[in-house]
This record gives sequence, C-alpha cells and structure tokens, in this order.
Amino acid sequence: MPATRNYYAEGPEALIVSLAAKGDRDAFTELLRRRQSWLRNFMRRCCGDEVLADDLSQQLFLQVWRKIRQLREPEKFGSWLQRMAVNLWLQHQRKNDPLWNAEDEANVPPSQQDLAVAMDLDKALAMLPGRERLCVILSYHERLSHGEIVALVDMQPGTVKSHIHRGSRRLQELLSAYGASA
Amino acid sequence: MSQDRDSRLESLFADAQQEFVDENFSSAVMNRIEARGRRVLIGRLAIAALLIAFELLMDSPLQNSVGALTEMLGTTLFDIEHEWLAFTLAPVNSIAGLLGLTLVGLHLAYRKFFY
Repeated sequence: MPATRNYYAEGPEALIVSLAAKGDRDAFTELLRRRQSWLRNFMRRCCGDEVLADDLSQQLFLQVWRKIRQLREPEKFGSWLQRMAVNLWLQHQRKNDPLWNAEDEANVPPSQQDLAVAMDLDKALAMLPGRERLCVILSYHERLSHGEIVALVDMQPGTVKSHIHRGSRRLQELLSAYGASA
Repeated sequence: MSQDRDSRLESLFADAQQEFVDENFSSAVMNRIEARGRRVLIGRLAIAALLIAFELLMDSPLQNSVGALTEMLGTTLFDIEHEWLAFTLAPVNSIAGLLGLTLVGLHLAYRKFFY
C-alpha cells in the first residue's frame, strides 16, 4: 500500500523503531532502508571486502531484529546500532584474525606494489593493524571523539589516542598519491 | 582530549562514502529473518513433540519424581518452636528458600564482578 509506505518513509525514526520492536516487518524494512548505507560503508571501511562487509551487515540486521525489543529508548537506536556494529566487527576479528591483538605492524608492510594498491582507502585501511584501523575508522568515518571511542572499544584513552595518531600517519603515507599530507 | 583530524584524510573518508539503497540487500535480510523464523518454529515444534512423547512415556515415574522433589524442597532447615517466628521465616527456612537465596546471591555477585 503506497500510503502506508509513505507513512513509514516519513515517520520519525523513534516511532519506526518502536513499531519494529513490536514485530512490524514493514517498519523494520524501513529501518533497513534508512540505515543500510551507513552500516555497509562502515563495514567496508573495517574489512575492505565488499562481500564480507555485506554479509556482516546482514548478520547485524538479523541481530537487530532479534534484539530490538530489548532497546528501552528507541530514540537511541543509532548509537545502539553503532555499538552492535563495533561489537560484531570485534567478534569477527577475534575469531578470524590471529594477529588482531598484535600491537604493532601486524599486517604486511607496504612495499612499492602495496603502495599502488593502497591508493584505495579501504585497501590502505586493511594494511593497518586491527585495533589501529578500528580507532581510525571510528574517528574519521564515524567522527567520534576520543572519549566516545574509549567508551565504545574498551581501551585506555592513551592507547586510543596513539592508535589514531599512528594509524592516521600510516594512512597519510599510504594515500600520499591522493594528496593526504605525509 | 584533542580530536585533531587530518583534513585531507577527512575528505578522503567523506569521498569514499557511497549511497546504498539496494532492494536486494533488504530482501536478502528479510529472507534470512524468515528462514530463521521457520527454523525456530520447527525447533519449538520438535521440542513440544519430544515433551509430549516424554510425558506419555514417563507419566507415572515423572509424577513420582516431581512429587518427591516438591517434598524435598519444602523440607524445613531448622525447627523453630515459636509459631509466629516459624511462620515469618517459613519462606527462607526450607531447602527451596536456601536455593533461592543462593541463586540471588550468585546473580548479584555475577553482576558486581562481571558488569
């Protein structure tokens, strides 16, 4: 019904979230429509692989459908979704990346060949060690403050700051062809 | 805490943003939700069928066990002479009360140490 669709498309998000929490599938589809861009971009920055990013995004929306009834304040849906996305990514990393906890240069150091590949932001991000990458993404992609990142990823403030600083420097080097200051 | 961000990196991140309004993505998610719903329903039906079969097979032994368990849980821990005191402490002066208090204590300890 077009009228119903318009109602969902124009309704405030908190209301749509409340309806989805009561099992309204059309409301949930509307949330999917509204939030998929943000989530798929976030996951692409995190994993640098479009297929994996979309699969993780779908998994996250499944979790959202299962848990949305637990959300007490529908107006906080955005930050709730963001926290779930970060947690899902952390779980995925812990499960699949044995070097996740490595503090320093965990991934392949950039060679000349890598530098050519690193012209692409996602591939450059993929060259950063896991925690560093996540902190940089949360700072630049999500535009979170250091304090917000600390709260989200359960790291010390000094560690978050140094991850962002070091990660930004590495990205600047890798992406120097784009004009990012090295 | 300083939030200094490199402006060129910021613009690269902004440029990398793509707009996704993909019906296929939404329908893939909804299909997975439907499939999961079906699996949950089948699982619940299977458990219900097992419980019914179990109840039919174990009708009498099950009732005896439940009766014995109920009796055991109701056993008082201490004999209290004063009737009013025995009445007041009745909810905690039994094995069931002790189990309940232990569970509440464990729950509180878990919340204190792991949250």
